[in-house]
Amino acid sequence: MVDQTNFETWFFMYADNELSADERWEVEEFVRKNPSCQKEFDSIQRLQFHPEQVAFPDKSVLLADQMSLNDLRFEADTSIVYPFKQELYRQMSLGKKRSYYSMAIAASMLLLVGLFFLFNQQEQIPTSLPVTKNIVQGSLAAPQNSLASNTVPSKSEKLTNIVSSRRTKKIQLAVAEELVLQVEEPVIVPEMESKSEETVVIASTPSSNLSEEALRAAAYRMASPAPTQPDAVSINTSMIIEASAKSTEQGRLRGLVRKLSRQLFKEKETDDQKKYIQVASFAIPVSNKK
Amino acid sequence: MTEREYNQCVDQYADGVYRFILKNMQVPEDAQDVVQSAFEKMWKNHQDVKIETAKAYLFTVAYNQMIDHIRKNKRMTLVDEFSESLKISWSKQTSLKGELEKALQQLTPLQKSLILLKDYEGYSYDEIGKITSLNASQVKVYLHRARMQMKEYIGKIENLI
Repeated sequence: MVDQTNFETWFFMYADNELSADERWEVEEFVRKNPSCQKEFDSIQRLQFHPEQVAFPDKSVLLADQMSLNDLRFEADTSIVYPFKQELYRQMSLGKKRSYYSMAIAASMLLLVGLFFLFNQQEQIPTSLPVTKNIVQGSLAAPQNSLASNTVPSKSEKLTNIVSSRRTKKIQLAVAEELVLQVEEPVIVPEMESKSEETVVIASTPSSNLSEEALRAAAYRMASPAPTQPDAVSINTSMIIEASAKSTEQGRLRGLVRKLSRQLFKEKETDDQKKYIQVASFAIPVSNKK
Repeated sequence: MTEREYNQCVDQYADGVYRFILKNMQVPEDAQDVVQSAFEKMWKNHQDVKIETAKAYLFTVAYNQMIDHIRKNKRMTLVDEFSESLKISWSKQTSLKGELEKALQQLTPLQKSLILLKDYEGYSYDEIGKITSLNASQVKVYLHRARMQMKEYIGKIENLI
């Protein structure tokens, strides 16, 4: 029921067209009976908006045909992924460096193993000298005729074969040096002692007379050629020791280098005819003295 | 809803939805984008939307998208309070329709939507409640409050005149 307390709400509902026909008539009667409310009633009715002639600019874009075209738009295919994503991570670049370092380490290790193998090969020539030791004994004993065993001639032949073999001069040198060293060793002393005093002297002091072949082999690489006389050769003791020590070190090193160069086939010459071996990026100079 | 029925909806409701949104947003390009988005959504779901509820569906979708758009661009809205007196002085020469327009723009988007849905489209409190996610009582109260604000605003202008 419309009264003085709630007429404003009724007026709003009247404006909103939320009242039935009877209710609308009731409101209109209230306003007629209360002229003071007429102004309020009119002001509320004025607040209503009336539809304007506003049209959507282009309805064709809303039609089904256009919307069907919109359905043809591509959407992102998330199943397609970049296959080499791992390479894009920053950490992987560090990994590459690591692999490079590990390869470098592996290469240097391989080089060391190779060097060790070559050294061992070099050492194998002296270690095969139990034969040469006998040879020394035999060769030493031959001129004295004090060790006339059956094995002497054959060992001498071996020595001759070794000396005259087709090995290079360096190998011969190594053998000769070892002969000298063996001569210096007192191992053969007891054997010689029992034979003759002269032999003992020979064994203990290498400056004494040696056989021509042994001396020739031993002094082959000495700076000054040893005086070779048919009967006996007198060699200065200090010269032999010095030369043998020097030539042993040089010979080993030289043998190693030669081995290296021979096996790698990389011995090259610079413009000023200096020989060197190219191992990876290292140029190892090689003395071309003979 | 068939394709033909969908096209009928375009013919019948596109203008009404556009008018409702444009009155709220005041920017024709934005209003057109909202309307187009609403129809795109209805086309995607046209198999599920019935022709009887298509109008309410369109208004609901358009209203929600408009509210989202307004929220996203809220920081762009500038209230020109300093020129209020200037506006009133200019309004001396304006008609009641112009006053109503200005009064409407003083309201919140929800209040504007309630008034426009009621006056433009003639929706009942219940139907407006479904579009704006309110119940009928809330729509009634909010709508009357919005009209009171407009009335007071216009009353101030009339007193100044």
